[in-house]
Amino acid sequence: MLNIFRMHMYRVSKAKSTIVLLIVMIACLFIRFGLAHLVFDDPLNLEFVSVFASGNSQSSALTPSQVNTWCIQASNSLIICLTIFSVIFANCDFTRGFAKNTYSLYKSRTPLVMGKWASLMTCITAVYVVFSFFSLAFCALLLPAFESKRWGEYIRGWIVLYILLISMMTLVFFITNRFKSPAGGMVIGILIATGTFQTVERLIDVLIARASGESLLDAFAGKGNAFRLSDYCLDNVYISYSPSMGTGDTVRTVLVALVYGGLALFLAVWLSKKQDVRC
Amino acid sequence: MSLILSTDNLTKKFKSKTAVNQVSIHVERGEVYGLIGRNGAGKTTLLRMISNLACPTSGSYTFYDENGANNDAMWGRVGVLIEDPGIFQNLSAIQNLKAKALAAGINNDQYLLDLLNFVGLPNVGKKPVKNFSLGMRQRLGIAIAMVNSPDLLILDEPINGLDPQGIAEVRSLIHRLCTEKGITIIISSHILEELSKVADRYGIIHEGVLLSETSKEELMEQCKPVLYMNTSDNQKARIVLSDMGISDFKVFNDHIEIRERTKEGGAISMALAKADIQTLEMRQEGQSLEDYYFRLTGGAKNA
Repeated sequence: MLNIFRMHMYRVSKAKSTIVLLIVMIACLFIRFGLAHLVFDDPLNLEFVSVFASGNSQSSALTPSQVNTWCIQASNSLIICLTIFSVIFANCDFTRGFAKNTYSLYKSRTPLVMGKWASLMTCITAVYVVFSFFSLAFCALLLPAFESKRWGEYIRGWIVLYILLISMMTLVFFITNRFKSPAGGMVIGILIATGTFQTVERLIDVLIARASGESLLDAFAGKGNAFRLSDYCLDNVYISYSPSMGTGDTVRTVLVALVYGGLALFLAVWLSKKQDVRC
Repeated sequence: MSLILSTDNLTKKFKSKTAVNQVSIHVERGEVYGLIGRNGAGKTTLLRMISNLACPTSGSYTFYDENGANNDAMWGRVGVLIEDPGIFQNLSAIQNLKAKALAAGINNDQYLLDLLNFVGLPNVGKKPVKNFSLGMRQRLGIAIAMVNSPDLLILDEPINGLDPQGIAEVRSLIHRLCTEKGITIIISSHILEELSKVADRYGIIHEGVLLSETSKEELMEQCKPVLYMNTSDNQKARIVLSDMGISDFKVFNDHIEIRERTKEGGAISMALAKADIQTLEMRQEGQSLEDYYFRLTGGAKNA
């Protein structure tokens, strides 16, 4: 597994697509910095964004956990870039035929899939760590609205967001690996980022709530005791996660992420044993 | 010689089509095993199963070590070049080799440079593989297959699409792999003449079924020219032939088949005449490898 891990890290380090995607991601990050500057350093803009986003006004202070939410979690373009990277990564050795060289080396396919997944997750982790650090450093140094407080919330949020990202990219890895379809993986990533799935999930929530006898208003507001499918859908959990959530919701978020990620990884390994290598 | 690979009723089905049907081949250590078959005969599917790229529907295969024992460690000692070489086009030759070497747990750059030299790609430098000619890619594919110092090299149609010079280079490379490095090679092709220049033993596969497994000597024997004669007294001719020192012949009611000294038809005819035996008919027939193959596979010359 370690050998396969090293091989994939080597090929990633030599791939032009890695550099291109990194440049795009850095550009995306700078756009978020610019937006953060516009929003948080101008009270009028902040009020507009806050009311538009949640109907509540919020403090004009930019805390570290808000930086993470603003620059990483809410950055659709970053998610899309990471998805594209994961899809290219998972599919590259199959489209180029290089998988023929590695699959013949091992009797079991488990180290092949696990080594590849581990190297992908290392890349995702590196991007997440570097982007978190730079966004925090940028905001701390250049935005007057930044306030160095609530670091505990930041660390908790950082870890939960990391688990959610890893879980989502594992899902993309599984879909790409299973169906050998770059388009499939990319479409899913883009649908997650744009919240398309979320709309469908919310609609199902409303239908369930109405079937449970709740009023239409409660059903739309998500109040009441009816089962809500969206609480257990990874994309919705990712988008709606907030570091200020209560412990119960945070635990649910982490569990949903672990179940999705664990299941996707297990299926990727298990199904690879029964699958012909098509390249 | 001891076995290095055997398959036991290996079968692969794709929905209703059986691509490989209960194939049992036996490859001995140190030999070049030629797998002959038409396009679509099941050669590639068979080799993909042996290379762990396709899962058999039923049956099994076993690798044996130098002591003839079933050994899972042999999995790391198999090199594969199935159809096109699996290479990253934007990387250089040495970078492609390095990627495979890392996957195999090898970290020796000098060894990789030596490999490039061995396959005749000594000065390719940092040139991306996408700028290589077809022959160069094929040789690089063989080098990648050799990175893990394989005991068994599986080459599927390695001369496909190559020009005559490229074919000669690959053929020479195969000879050197076998003689200098002692690697056992399974090579598939639908070009029988080319295969006959390198292979020691043959497996003939047709519509997914292994029709015959034969050594080069047996194959040559099958294809040896035969002198057909009909005389006024075939039984008496038997004595004349024996007196001439010819032993490899068969006498039938209506003809005699002679399988040695077939170019001495004139002398045989003279000897028969001296014994008052009239030669009524004499013809020499040879069976080319292709004729033999077509006879075995049942005809149509579309291999």
